[in-house]
Amino acid sequence: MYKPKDIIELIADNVKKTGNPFGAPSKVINGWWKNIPLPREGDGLLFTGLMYQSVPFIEKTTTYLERYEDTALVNYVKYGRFVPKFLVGWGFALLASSEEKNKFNGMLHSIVEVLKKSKVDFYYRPELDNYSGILLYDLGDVDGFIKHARSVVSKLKEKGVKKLITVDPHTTYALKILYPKYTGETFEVKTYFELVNLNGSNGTKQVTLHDPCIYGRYLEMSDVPKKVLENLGIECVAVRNSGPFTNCCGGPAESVSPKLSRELVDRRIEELQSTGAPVVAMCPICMANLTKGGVEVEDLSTLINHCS
Amino acid sequence: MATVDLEFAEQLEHFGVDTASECFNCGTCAAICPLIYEHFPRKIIRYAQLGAKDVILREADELWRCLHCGLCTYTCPREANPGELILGLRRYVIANWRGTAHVQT
Amino acid sequence: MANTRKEIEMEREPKIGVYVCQCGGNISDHVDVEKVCERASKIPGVVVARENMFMCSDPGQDLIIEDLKSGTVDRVVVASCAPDLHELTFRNAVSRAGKNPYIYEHANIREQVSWVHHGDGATEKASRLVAAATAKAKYIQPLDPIRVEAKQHAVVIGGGISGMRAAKDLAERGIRITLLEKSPFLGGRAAQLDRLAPTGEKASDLITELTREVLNHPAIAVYTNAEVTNSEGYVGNFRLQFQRRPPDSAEDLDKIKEMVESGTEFGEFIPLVGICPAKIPEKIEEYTIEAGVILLATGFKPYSPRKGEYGFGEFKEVVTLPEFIKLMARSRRNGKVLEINGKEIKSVAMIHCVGSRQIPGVHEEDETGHLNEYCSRTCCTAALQAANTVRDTYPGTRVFDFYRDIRTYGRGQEELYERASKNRVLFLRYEPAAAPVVKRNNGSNGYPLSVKVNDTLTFGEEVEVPVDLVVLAVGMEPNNVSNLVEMMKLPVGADRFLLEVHPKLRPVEMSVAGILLAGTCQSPMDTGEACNGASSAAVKTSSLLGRGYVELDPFVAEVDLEKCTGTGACVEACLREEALTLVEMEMDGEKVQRAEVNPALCNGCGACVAVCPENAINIKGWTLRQYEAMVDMIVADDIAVG
Repeated sequence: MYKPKDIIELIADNVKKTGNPFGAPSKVINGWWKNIPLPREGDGLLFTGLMYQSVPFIEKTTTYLERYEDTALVNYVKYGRFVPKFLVGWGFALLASSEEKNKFNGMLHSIVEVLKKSKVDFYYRPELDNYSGILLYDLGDVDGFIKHARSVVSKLKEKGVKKLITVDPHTTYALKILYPKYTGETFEVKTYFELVNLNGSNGTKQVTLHDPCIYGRYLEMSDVPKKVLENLGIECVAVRNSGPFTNCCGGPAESVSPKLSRELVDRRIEELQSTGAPVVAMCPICMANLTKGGVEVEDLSTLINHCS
Repeated sequence: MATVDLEFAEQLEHFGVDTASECFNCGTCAAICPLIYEHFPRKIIRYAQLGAKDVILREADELWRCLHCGLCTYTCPREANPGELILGLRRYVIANWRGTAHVQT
Repeated sequence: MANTRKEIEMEREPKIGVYVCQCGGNISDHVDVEKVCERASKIPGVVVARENMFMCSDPGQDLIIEDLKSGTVDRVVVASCAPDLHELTFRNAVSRAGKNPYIYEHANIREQVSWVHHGDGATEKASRLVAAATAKAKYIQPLDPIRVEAKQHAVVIGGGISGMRAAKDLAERGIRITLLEKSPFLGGRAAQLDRLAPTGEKASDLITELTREVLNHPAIAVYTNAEVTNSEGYVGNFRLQFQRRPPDSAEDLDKIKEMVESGTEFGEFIPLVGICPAKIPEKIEEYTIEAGVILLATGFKPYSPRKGEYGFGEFKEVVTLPEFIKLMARSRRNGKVLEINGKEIKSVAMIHCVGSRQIPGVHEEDETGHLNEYCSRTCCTAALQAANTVRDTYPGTRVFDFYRDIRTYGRGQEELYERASKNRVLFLRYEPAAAPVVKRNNGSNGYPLSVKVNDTLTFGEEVEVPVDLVVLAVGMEPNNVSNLVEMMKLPVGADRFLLEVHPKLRPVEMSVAGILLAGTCQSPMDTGEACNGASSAAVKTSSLLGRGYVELDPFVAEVDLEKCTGTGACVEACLREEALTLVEMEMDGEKVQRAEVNPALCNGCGACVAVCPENAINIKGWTLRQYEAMVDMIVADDIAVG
């Protein structure tokens, strides 16, 4: 296990410098919107919180971290910022493969498609789409989180943004629950699938939907994506431990103990695979962790997009 | 040996934790926690209840095992909110590491 | 006239019916019931021998009723379970057939046979027991229960909440009551409490109201400072002597002094003491009363810790819960800070199970070699109620609760436990063999004591709690009523509380007919349960006295005046005073001394039968002749198992 203290200070430092936990400028990470037509004006602002875009970077980081966990090198995290130089920042950003980046950016493209098909009035502005700071909150650096959240909020307020369309559970939780509590600012926050209004009949297609902890438990909204799929004629096979009792994919352990993260994902994969139907995720972190565990996972957005 | 600190409960309130005393040590949280690790989080919550600051700071790293998955909070029969307690203790510990002004030791 | 008919009936050769129960396999799995029947049918006098899956069932009982009604049989032997269970069932069946219920005999072939023996031996023993029962049945006489007039008057001993509750209930039903209280005050232990759990109502309100009702009721006579000095008689006709005496205990004298100094009048409530209803006697006054029923409501006393038990008697900061309740009630009059003995209390430790749930080999016995192995049931709730009072009234005072198990049973009580948690009472759990240790605190933290415990909730780690005060949640012990026990021959449990006949079926009656139990003299219970018990005892009393007479079992001694020579051996052997006496009577023109039985007093024990040189005395229903016949039959191999 890495020393939490070192990891927290590292991440806090990165967020302070670059606005995201990885120490690379957000511009380098957030390039998904280039080359696709997106309205700059509209009713609800599409707010990705940079989670989907970050996954390829997180993946690369943890591959390296995992290699050194439980070795003497763990201690170097604090001495002279050994890891930052090596794993994060510019140097590391370049290590993420374009194949990986395309995969996750593609999911965001699917979300855009799905919103368009559902005739949702939305717009996108990369300069307003910032990392939510959720990792700082989760790690316990509430001061750092509040500071960061306030800067995110002030940019949104400056442009008069009221409605936000989120795409992942962590950003949704941050904006919907934590921002009002810690910054005093409330937005009308909807996850993209709450706005999907599509019908179809996909015959007898069955999928295994993995509920993320936050949608399943914290926000208790597992029924919403199920209903969306049902309208498309897709049946969600019952999974042992789902809805409010869903099991964690292990993803959140990555930053402190990639090993622990592995153990947990193995356990969850066993539960998911026992249904026999293909696995579908709706959180980029779940998606990455389950994939790393060796199972083929489709994102909810691409599934909806293909079947509508 | 842990010595009970009579003031600790008030200190923790600065970090958004006010449910430690609700816990009646049933162990549901430890049973449902996916970590299956050394009575986590029940044990650390007991230390918080007692106000055993020294032990909490000594074993602080354990707090970051938590996935923040929320199963314990969802199933706690006393609504003692173990998940949020862990977050609050993390805040307490970080403030202690950083020597932030409002931490009393 | 009925006797004449009976005699005629009995002159005839008896017609005995034997009914053997299979008890659904309970008996028939080990006893060859068919064989038992077959053997029984050959016994002289037996006219039918039948078996049934369950004799106690309606079809089983109908077999007996039909045979009696048709005149096939005139005596009934049932071989089944222990008579405790169903003797009465079958007697009632005989009554329903229009016959005398005492023409019945019972053989126990379940508890005494099938549950303890197997194989051929079991069948043989069952056969012998059945044969013996038929031998006895042959000499059965119809009997009538003894009827005794019942005095419409009850004595209640104990003027606490239970005694007063029962007195009030009975008086409302028109029964005259004499209420005796040993101390100068009514209200008992409840009057010494502040607020009652779980409702939180004031004990003083409750006691004041109930005492007023009792004192104002024309059918209730209250005597305080009163103690029973003699008791004789039997259900329906007890005769009690009691004395009123000037108080002599230091505790009573202190309380009286307090009353006088505070200017409290008779009949007014004195906080944490009770109500003194009338002038205190200055010399001994003697009284005798007659009553149909005696109701015992003699109450409990709190366990008094040994010196050194959790620092009790060694550190002045260690007190019992009843003491703490009083100290706190008095402190509350002084404002926002809990102050005891002039010192602000910021941290209180409560220790549960002090003097309760004691374990042989772990706890020290008292000077009489006793351990209180029972749970006192009320202390958890009382301790938590006190803890909540501390936290609600003095938010600056912390409470630490050292417990073995929390037993807040009953309506509204678990909520007190939950509230204590919400009130931030910190619970620490100890094992009996590793009880908390209270020590003088030599540290500089300002707390005079510390309590150390291996806390099982902290995974057995040692935890030290600095405190200003230690409160011991002491259990209940019955008040010493050995004089009453001796006088009235009362059964006492191993736990020293008075013992009921059956905890479920006859929960407020004692085995001595006409003596009933109310409240904590029976077992630890809270005020609600004590009142429950008191009201039950009141109902039981009024149903006993309601008919104007009581019926007693007819199995009592009977003197054969033909044979009696007045030796007096029986009177000497008799265990019950006045059950047997020598009386003068005229026989053939001569004045002679003869034994006479008081059937209402006789226990039917048979001590007299054994000593009579003339065989002139017998127990009805259990005569010597019947015993002899039974013994003869048990060993008569050719008949019993032939």
